[in-house]
Amino acid sequence: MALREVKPLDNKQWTQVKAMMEEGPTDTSIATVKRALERASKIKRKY
Amino acid sequence: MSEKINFENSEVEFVKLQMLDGIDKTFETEVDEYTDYYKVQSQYDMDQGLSRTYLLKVDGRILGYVSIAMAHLRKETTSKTFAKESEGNIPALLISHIATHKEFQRNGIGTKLVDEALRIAVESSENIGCRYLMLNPRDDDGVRKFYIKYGFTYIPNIEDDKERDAFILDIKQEKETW
Repeated sequence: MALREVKPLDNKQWTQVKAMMEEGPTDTSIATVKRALERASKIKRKY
Repeated sequence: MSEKINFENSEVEFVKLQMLDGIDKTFETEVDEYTDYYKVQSQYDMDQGLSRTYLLKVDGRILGYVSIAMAHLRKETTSKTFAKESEGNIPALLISHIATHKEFQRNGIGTKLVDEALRIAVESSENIGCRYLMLNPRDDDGVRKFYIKYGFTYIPNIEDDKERDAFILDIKQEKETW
């Protein structure tokens, strides 16, 4: 199988990710997603 | 030398790779692994339900692709601690492979490809648990700067193992919790 393996997180990485998740999305991440969705809406898709 | 694309005057569209599609043998990326993935492996993974590959076509020519799969962020555990510590895995959509045609670099194609993966992640999250868009990019400063500029958070491995660095983007749109 050629799919890239998802590497498990070490303790420090895991702590960082869990803290991010529990704090909730930031204004920056919300804005990033909104901009991306707006750009994506301008492209046609055939599927 | 990269060719410039005038997107305004071009037909730009995403299509999903299908099993019976012919492979575009002219598609080449800067990294052999990614060229080979599209040409050799992507249809097999589609057939096996392991990934879905989306092609960005400009005036009918494939200029990039992104392959995605379900995944989760998880803490490394030993077999002895697995049962105790495996709780709390965080579902995510994985960008398993992403590449731009090597003759069309620096045209914003990478951004369009990530945008499409993100759009699918957000849409999917309405029906299944999916909190992050994630990837483990290759060890290339330019590539990593691209993802940070895009908005991903860099989660470095404590032992400086670049293969285990994670890049994640929270796709949740509301601050409120349930």
